Amino acid sequence: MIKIGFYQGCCFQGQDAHMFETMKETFKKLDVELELLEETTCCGGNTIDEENRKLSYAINARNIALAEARGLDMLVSCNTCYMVIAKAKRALDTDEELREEINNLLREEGLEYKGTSRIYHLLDFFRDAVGYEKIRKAVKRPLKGWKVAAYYGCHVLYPKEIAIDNSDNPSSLQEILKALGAEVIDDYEHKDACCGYHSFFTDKSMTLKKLNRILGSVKKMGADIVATPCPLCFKSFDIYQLNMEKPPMVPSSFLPELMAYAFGIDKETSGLAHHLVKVEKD
Amino acid sequence: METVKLQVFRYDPEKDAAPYYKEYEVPVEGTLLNALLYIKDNLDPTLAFRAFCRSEVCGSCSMKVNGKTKLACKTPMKELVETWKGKPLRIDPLSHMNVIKDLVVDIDKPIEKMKTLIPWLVPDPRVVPTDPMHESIIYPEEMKAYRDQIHCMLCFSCYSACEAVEDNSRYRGPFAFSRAYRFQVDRRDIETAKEKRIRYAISGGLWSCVQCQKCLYVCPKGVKPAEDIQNLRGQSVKKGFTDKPGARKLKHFVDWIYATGQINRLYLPEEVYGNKEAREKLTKAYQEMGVEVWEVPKPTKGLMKFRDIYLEILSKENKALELDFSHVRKIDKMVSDIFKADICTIVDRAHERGESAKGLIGKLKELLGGK
Amino acid sequence: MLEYDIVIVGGGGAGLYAALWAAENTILKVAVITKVYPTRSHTGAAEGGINAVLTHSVGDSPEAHAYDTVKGSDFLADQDAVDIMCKMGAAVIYDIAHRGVPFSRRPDGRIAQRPFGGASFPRTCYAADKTGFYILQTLYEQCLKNNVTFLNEWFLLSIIHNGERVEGITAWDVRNGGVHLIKTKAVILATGGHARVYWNRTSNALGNTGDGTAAVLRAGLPLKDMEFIQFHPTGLAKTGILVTEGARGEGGYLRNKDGERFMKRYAPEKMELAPRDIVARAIQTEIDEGRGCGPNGDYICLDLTHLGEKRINERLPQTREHAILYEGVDPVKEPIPIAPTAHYSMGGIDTDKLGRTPIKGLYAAGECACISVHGANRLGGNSLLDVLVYGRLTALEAVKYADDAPETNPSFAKVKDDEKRILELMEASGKEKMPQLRRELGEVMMKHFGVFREESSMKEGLEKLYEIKERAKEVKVYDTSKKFNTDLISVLEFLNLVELAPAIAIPAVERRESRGSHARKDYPERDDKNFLKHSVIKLGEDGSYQLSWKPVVITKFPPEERKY
Repeated sequence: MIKIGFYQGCCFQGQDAHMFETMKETFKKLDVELELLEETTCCGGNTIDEENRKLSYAINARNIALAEARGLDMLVSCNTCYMVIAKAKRALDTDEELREEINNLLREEGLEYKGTSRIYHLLDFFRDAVGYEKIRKAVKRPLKGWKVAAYYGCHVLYPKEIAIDNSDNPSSLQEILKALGAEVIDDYEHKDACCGYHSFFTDKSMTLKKLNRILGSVKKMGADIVATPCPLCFKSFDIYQLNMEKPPMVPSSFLPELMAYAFGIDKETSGLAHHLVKVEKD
Repeated sequence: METVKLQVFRYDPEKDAAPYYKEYEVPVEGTLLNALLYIKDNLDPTLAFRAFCRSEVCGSCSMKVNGKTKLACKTPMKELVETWKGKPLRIDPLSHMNVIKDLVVDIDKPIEKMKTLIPWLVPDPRVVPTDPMHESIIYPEEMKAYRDQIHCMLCFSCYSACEAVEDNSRYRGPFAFSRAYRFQVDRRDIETAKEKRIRYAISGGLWSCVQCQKCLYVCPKGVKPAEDIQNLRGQSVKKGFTDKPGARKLKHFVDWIYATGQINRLYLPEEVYGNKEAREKLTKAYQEMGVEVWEVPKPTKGLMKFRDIYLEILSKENKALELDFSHVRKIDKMVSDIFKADICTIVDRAHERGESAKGLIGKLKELLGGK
Repeated sequence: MLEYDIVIVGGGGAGLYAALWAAENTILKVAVITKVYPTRSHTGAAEGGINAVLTHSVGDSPEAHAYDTVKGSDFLADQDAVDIMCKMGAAVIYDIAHRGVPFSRRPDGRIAQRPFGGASFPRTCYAADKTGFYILQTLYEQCLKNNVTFLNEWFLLSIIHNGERVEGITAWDVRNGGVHLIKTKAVILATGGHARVYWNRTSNALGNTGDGTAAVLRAGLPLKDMEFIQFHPTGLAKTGILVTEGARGEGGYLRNKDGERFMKRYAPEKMELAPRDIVARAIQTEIDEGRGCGPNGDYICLDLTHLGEKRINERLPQTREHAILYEGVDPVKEPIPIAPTAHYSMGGIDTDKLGRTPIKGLYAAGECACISVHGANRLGGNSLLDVLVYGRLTALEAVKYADDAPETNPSFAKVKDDEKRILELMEASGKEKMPQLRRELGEVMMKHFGVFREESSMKEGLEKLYEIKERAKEVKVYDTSKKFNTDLISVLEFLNLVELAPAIAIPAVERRESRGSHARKDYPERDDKNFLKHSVIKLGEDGSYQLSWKPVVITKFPPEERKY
């Protein structure tokens, strides 16, 4: 049994709060116990950096320190949270002055950033800590006949310092999808494209153009569904897609939902039933 | 000798009706530039590409390998073969610029775009002596502010890889913002020039950057344009250019994270675009599916101490926005209205019980007598 | 036909600084033509720094700088020119600092200076280990600010003059193809060096092919001191790519295969910081005498490991990166394999102390020029200074001249000639392959005109150079397209090198002494009685190389033995 600190970010809040329960159940089938790091806060979403970068580092030093205090590594399920936290970790690990300054603040809360916990994203956690074989064995309902387009998004591949896979030619997502029994579609240009999530509230036109390009090419490849390891990319696909003039209505899924379903959890609980763009396939 | 096949983009607009790929077998040795020079010297002298210093200081030889932007002289062939598992390597010219011939693209457009951002020092006579025999004093500490940006060598790798250039032709390009930002943090540069740069940056697509981080990845020199763009956005907001969706988004983040430890995605459309309908529609859609929708995020455990840290940093640091305490009070009120209790009580009592997520709002309300 | 008042050929440090000073000091029409985009010029590769005596350089003086320069030049530099250059040091440093060059600073905010080979005081100003890069970028920014006209990716073909004054140039528009006549009153050549003549063993960029120097030679005008080629002691063993002198300035050791710091036998006082020619010869001697490192004993080790990772990352980041990338060695952990590499051409276009050639309106600045401020050997940190001082001086001279000069009337004949020449190249037999011949040229130059030279070997080498020149007539340009014809450019560059090679070899044979970079095994001593003079070479009407000599200007510093 692996025990790991789970960083929820904003993606397991609000209407998505139920997803944590599903994640927990799904991971249990892989002998992984998720311990919710409930004192953690929003990572700042790579936006708080515009306010002040040190604030972003401090927030995330605190987030990481909360995992360290429990003696746990940290699992981050969102690409952006992962990128922001991993960047903060890198800054803290390489800049002693910064670390000391921030630790002085954290001490008041009885916390200290030490740099002892590894920050995992879903993809490298499945690859390095769980292993694809274990996933394969947990599958009860193989996604036979599902044509799934593998879509990474950006923040697990870029920048290089925090990439969890070969940024130019990544394979971890395909491996997982294959383990679930799906037919993987990955020979398309946009699997590392920007999903447009973050620009929806800065320059909306960018989001819509990107969705059009990505979903259009996925549709052309004949995919039944897009799978992404990032809940934000998923939201961009599922929610913002509807803002398009002519939405291609390509269903999408957050990777753990597909895993849950393949592990035998029902469609309702897996979350697959709650998408705005309906997942018809079963 | 180990070899690999390169499929090289060829196009001479005078002769060829359309571009095509020509295959060459090259040794897996040295860098990609070595491979191209090998082709030129031994296989095909007609192949056109730019190269000059061969030691990653001139920025001439950027191109794409299987769609990924690389500086040829900095890319070991071994690494390429490992990444692509010995498969043929497709060599293309950079994106977003017109092809002049083969791997040579027209870089005048990005240079012209860059020029609009005043990427040069406009000396402040109060700091920079007009007497040419007088030295201007610059402390090593202050030079740290632009130590990465000055490495830009105009290779246009970031321009090629940029997701914003892709969808906004006016967008100036990552490098252009970095080169402009370098002067924004130089004490010798005059304030009026700094304000102009911000205005031009905004009209040049400052808020169109999608923060994909690809520019950081492809930069052969460790420049971090996406981060400089964040810095420029912060500067623009600080200078009062707040009438932009992005500025309002920033305000949302700054206030909500302080107030609750979380952002509130449900309220973003409203606070950024004044779109109230979006929240109602989304709420309804989810409720119809039987998904519980929270009006406000669950305030983080230990929120009060978190607020202390947050304020402590903002009080000391240079920042884009002041915390809007009236907004924070409104958020506090929303939280206490929903839960019928003040924010401190909610946080502490909710966490004491170690509630699970499902149905939390209902349980909370019950617990706190807010039925 | 294009028309300007002043045309600057070359967009490196000298060309851009000239353009900037011309743009700021005149309303004349000024254009820069450059075969690569300006920021790609080889000035960008200059790492170590730029020498100048600043107002806070305690104990130092322009005179001391001049003395070190003259001594470094083995007394072949013209002392009036050296005097000008050294006195202008502070002015150009402050000027470019004011324009934004991020010089490294002392804790008190003043420009930092470090020791460099052959200098009696720490007077090398630097910007980390990318001094030339930052200067080039800053000058480009300033040129954009001043709306300088650039003809980017244009290749110089010929200089047109009437024996008295310059009238224009012809150039090939690389992007669109075609020979163009450019009418102008003044031309500043800032086309860089020609060390690529040592094709296989040089630190230079692919395009440092002496295009301006060769055009001057073809125009029947004189070149000076061409036999002097500086071999940088520390080129990466595999590629010749440079490891900055700053690496030794920061305290790096040179060791032979026995781990011995052998410089103690060659320059006991200055050790690794002795001038470049002495260090290069020491390294070559160690290799030649069997004390080289590696399986073939063909390199020496530059050991930085004792500096520690932090210092290396801080002061020599680029050195570390290049060692890892091109040599596969991390200098934090292991010594870097190095060997001498052809680095700098002291010789070049013959000019006076203000950069003027014998032809009115024609100037040369930077590495293509032989002013001469470097004489037989250039000190590290003096080339960027030369580039800036003479970029600026020639600009001011050109402005002064072009202001009053009457219109010129260049003939189109040169265009026809050049067009014919290019057509002939495309229709040549192709019996000889250019890349093969270019390799041979480099090998001949390195073997017969390398770090050490000797009469019979050089004579043999010169014969081979003439042979290569003959064979080069059979070289063919295979790409017949107009647009971006890099095949044509490579061949034109190669032909420039082929023309320049004998101009290096002939005075090298005739200078029967050792001086500066010119180290003869058969004449190991300097011979002031016979050879304290500049060699001057030009092409006669029949195309033969004609050698003559002219005196060195000596003002303050009488020749003395050069010891370190």
